[in-house]
Amino acid sequence: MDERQRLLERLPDYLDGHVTGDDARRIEALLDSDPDWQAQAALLGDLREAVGAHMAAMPGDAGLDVLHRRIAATPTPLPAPSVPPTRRAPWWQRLFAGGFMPRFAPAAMATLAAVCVAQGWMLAHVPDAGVAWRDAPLVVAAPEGNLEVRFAAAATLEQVEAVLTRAHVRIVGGPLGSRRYLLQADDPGAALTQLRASPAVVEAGLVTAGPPR
Amino acid sequence: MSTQTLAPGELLAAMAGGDQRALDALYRGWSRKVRVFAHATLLHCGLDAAAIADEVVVDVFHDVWQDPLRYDGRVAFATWLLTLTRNKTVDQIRRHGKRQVLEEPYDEDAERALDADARTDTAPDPQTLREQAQRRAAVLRCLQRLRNPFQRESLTLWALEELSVLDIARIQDVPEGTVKTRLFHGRLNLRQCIERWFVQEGSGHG
Repeated sequence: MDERQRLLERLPDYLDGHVTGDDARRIEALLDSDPDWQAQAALLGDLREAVGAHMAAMPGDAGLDVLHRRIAATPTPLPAPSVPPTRRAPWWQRLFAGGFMPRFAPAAMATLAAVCVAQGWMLAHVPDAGVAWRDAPLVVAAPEGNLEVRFAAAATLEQVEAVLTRAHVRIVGGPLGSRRYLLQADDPGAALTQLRASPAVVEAGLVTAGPPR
Repeated sequence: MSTQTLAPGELLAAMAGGDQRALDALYRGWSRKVRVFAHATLLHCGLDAAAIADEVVVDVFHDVWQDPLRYDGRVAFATWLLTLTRNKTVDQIRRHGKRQVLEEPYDEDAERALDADARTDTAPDPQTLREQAQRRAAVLRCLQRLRNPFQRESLTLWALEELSVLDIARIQDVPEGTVKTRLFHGRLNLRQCIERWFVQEGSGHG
């Protein structure tokens, strides 16, 4: 390929500023002095002008209503979350949104059923003596919490789940406010050690008093 | 901030969050380029180029809406969008069982009809405006009539956006040298067609 041909093939890039150095200087000189080069550049200018005028005559939103209809008719995937991960709902809200609590649902339902049975039994066996039944002790078959724990605000659901598993405890009540929960452990002492060792736990302690009567 | 002033990357990010106004803004800013390029690719392949180009525009922006974050910024947005446009256009051609044709018979009657249109369109204008409009019409008609579809595509891409030869090569999926050759020979053919057009124009008035 001769030099003139090589430079002519670079002319479109030169006109858009994509050619620098020696080639740019030589093309510039040819455009200054050579009518044939000037005609080539003018043709490219006319081409861009013609296509630009053609586009300018088109409405920019032609077909937009068709696109809207197609989008409405197509099930689209859910958009990505627009909030950064640090602004996601805290774990204790997600815990009750269905991530962890369903595991405790059977226990909770069994507890409620036991309360109903106990109350029914008490009503059926009310002593004749006036209001003496009011003093009957309330016996609830619900599992009693023997530990109370407060989780860190930054703790993730995975961290909470892990420490509960390690300590062999389960949540039996809560949230009690300030991210506190009532736990039940078979071995409260060992569980307490595990809980206090976890960075997900701010504080943990034994619950000594029974439920108020 | 108005969506009209946002860069494509920002509009795509807004679309990822489900903002359909961002899609509308992107469409209004870019659909014409997509349509012109698709139309240039579809010409002379035996299909209704204008109607299929309209379908391609909707296909392209529907795809962008469904997965706006597919654009990763490694190439200019125009290069990415026009590559997607080319792929969709080729899909349409294949779907209709057509192939791009390299040669087509010269249709003298159609040529005369288009020339007459150009003269009629510009007749009421002052002399200089009329000449400019006629020249634009001639260039556009000759571009659309280029018999080599790849030359037509390369020249259209160059005219649409200030794309480098390298970007055009990416869109057409060919080596850079091939695009240089297409642009060079496309210019020669365009020039011959325009000269013939003006000869006919002169004889039309004569």
